[in-house]
Amino acid sequence: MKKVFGILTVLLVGLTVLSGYFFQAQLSPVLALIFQTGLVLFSAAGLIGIGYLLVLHIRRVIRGEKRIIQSVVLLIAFLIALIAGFVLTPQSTLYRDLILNVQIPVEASLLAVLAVTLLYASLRLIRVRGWTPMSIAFLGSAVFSLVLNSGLIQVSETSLGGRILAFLERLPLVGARGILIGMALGGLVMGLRYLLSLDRPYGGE
Amino acid sequence: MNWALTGWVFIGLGIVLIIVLIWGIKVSPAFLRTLPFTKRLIESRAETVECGRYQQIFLGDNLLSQTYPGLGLSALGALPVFLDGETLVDGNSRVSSPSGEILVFAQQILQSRYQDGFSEPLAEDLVRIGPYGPTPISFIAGLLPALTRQPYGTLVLLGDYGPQASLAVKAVLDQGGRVFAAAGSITSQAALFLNVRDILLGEEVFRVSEVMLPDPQKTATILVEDILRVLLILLLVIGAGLTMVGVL
Amino acid sequence: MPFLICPDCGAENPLTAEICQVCGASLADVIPMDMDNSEADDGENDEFTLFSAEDKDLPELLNDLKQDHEPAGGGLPEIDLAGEGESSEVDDTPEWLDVIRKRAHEELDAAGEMTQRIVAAQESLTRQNEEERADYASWIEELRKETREEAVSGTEGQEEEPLEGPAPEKAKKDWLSRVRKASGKLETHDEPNAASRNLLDWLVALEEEQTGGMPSGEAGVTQPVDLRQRAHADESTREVRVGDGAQQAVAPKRLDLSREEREQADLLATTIADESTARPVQPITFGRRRWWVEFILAFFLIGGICFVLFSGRLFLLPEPPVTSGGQAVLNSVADLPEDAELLLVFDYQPAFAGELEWVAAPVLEALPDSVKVSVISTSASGPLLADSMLERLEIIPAIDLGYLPAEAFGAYGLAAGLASTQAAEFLPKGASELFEGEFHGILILSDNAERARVWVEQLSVLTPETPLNLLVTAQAGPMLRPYVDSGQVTGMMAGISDAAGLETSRTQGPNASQRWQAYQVGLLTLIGVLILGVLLNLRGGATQGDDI
Repeated sequence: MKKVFGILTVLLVGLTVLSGYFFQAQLSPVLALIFQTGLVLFSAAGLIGIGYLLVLHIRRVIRGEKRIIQSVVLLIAFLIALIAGFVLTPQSTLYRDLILNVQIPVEASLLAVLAVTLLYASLRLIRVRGWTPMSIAFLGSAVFSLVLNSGLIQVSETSLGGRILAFLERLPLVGARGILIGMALGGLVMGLRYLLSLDRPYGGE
Repeated sequence: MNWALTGWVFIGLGIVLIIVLIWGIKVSPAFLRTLPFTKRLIESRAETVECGRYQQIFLGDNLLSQTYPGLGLSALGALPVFLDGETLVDGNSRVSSPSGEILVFAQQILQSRYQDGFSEPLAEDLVRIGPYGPTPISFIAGLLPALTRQPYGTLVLLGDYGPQASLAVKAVLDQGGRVFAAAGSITSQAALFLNVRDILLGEEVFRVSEVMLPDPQKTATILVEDILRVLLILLLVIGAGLTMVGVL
Repeated sequence: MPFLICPDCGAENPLTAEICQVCGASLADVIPMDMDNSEADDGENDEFTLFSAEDKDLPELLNDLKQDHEPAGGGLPEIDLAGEGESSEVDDTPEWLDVIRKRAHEELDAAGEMTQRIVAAQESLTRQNEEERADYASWIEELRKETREEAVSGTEGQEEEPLEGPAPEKAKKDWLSRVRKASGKLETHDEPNAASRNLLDWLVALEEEQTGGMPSGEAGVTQPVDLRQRAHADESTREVRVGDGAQQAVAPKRLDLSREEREQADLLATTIADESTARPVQPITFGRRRWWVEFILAFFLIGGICFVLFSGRLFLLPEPPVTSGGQAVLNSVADLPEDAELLLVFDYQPAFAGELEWVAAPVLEALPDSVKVSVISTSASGPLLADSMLERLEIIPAIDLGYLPAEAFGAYGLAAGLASTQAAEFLPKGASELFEGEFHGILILSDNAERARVWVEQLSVLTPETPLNLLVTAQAGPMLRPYVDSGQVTGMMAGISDAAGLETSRTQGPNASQRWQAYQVGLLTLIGVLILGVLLNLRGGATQGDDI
């Protein structure tokens, strides 16, 4: 019974949303209800995610596991941000500086580490992948894009050289479009599988 | 006939083909293309369990994505494949995502795999599900220390995620683990291509559950995908040709 | 009535048969044997037998005995090796075996005709070529052949062996050791009944028992009776082979196996044999983490950028170009009418705040003072980031539309006409004012091509006349270029390379140029590392295992 209820819910909601594309005026009240419910559920799920994180770190602190200082710092920072948000409100300059002056450097540092990681990985690309057409094409297009972006080659966009460069610059986009088309098709089939209840990983099967 | 209607035609055709190929014509398993990714993933997971190391299964940053609408669902659909009996008993596995929606579904899937008798307070070694951070980059910031705290043998990346996943990849590779990525976004595919040997690109990212646990229904959907792809290619080529000659 | 005796399985076949009816072997060169079959043995026609069912000699005798004295448990009989051949040992042997021996002693020439058949079958067998048989059953047959020949050569010239006479121990031991060796280190144990664990062990044990513990032969018995029993696979019949050292035993029934079964049996035998072989434990080889390489790379990258940034010097590097995309954005903004309303969409993560501020600064600084700016955010930190950037640029937003959870909301809700219906009441404030507002221009600041594309696709449907400009990071730019080419987007500035040209042309100061040159140094470092990676691996290719 529980399984049937889940399948029916998926089918009804999915078909209603799809039908709403064609029958907007007739189905708009139902669609509004669906969207409103969906928004509430997603927001609640977002809170659940934060709750998961907190519970994980609280458990770690209670059990006295290794390196609990990180969990303690996280919990304290969370509490400060939460309380400050309620007390100072997000419109407050102090609150804004408090959050951004921590968040921006941390995230920017991570991106810097990512840059070095990718730099090191690009050094070892051939060693990992070997001399394959994919790796050669990847290397070639990466070097070309970097050279163009660095401004070392500057030609007028209306000249022949500029047009050739523009053509070469757009070539990787062709491949990217192909990948996106394939992924869109895969997404379509995946959605149909869920609509037709062929895939029900959440249904206890 | 506009492009939106063309899309609907594809959707309708997809539905019809799936129905015909699943409940009508029997599809030969030969259509299921084997990927070396599968064999290596199975070997790595077995080796990880045998060596007492950990597995990390990452389900992506978002359940819903405008550009990659099926990726989150695909990751959830592939999750049961990784929760086999050995993994459930071993317990040295972690499933994670910054997205609360994904975590809720994942928790339900995990509980259904453990089935009756699932009791977290009573069982010490369970597959654990949880986030390391609420946003994509904060998630990676939280994941990195976790990856170095225990010896990880396998890292599986599923769903929709960005290039920052390269940091997690490196952390696992540094300790001799292996990484398997069904690369989500275009940028993550480019970033992970550098150092992940076993990577699925494009529409292959949706086929993880199909290649790991093939069954006639999944084989049929693969065939449907192939048919639609061929039709789309023909449509594009014909459309480009007609545009060139000025008809369209 | 003559028969053709199959050389492989020993089954009787009619004269007209070209291949054996039981095992399918060729009967081309087989000499017909004239057997005196008086009775048919019901139920034995499909089984391997050298003898006619009507024959009154040993097989029927055995069948009768089998029916009367079949052991309860079936299978191979338990052989007690611990006995000394005394009466206790006689008591331990199966009753049916005793009866057989007794009748063999009592009935003269009981094995006569049977012996002839055996000889004939053996002759047929010896004619067979010596090709190596892949299957297990034929391997046992070969072994038996060899052992019989050995036994023949060993006992040749000797008097008939008393039943209880000691067999040449050395020959037996050699035979045994060869059998054990050939069987792949199958171990035989000394404890009682251990030999019944497998067929070969049982045969060996029986051989030993016969030579060591058999009662003395009675008068008139010229040939030792060497009885062996082998259970058939279905345990329904047993074949008794009678022979002496000078005579060949009856060829056992060939075990019909398919190729796959043979391979599996061989694999099993190999695995069992190999099970106890000592093997070195392969240690897990971790890739050597060359942290020093990463450190050097980071040093050059970050160090080079910092050096250029803080040195206060300008190097001989090309000036940044003014791109058409950047110029288009600037023109679009500069052309805004008086009291125009401009929508700023903040859709990026804090990690990219630095880059986007650099990209957006030249454009936002060029805004006329009379323009009213409305701000909306679609990322969680968006309102804070917007506030920070606008404060730095001294732009005061007229309307703050807050945070719109665009991803959860879905593009459908934004652009499917929902706003025009009654359902629009549930929309968040930002979204509803987005629909109600009439903007003269929209600027989208984004670090993600996918989210920017959603805005472009939806807004170009909702408000196709409104100029739409993109200020995006370098990673998002390439994927959005088609929208610029198609005209859906008026202009786009992607990354520092587009922004630097505008900034340099506007600010006329060394700071802008230094930042641009620092960026160039970073890019040149990346290019150098890529080329270095290629050069270092010119001769090699992909390596296994070491993945770092």
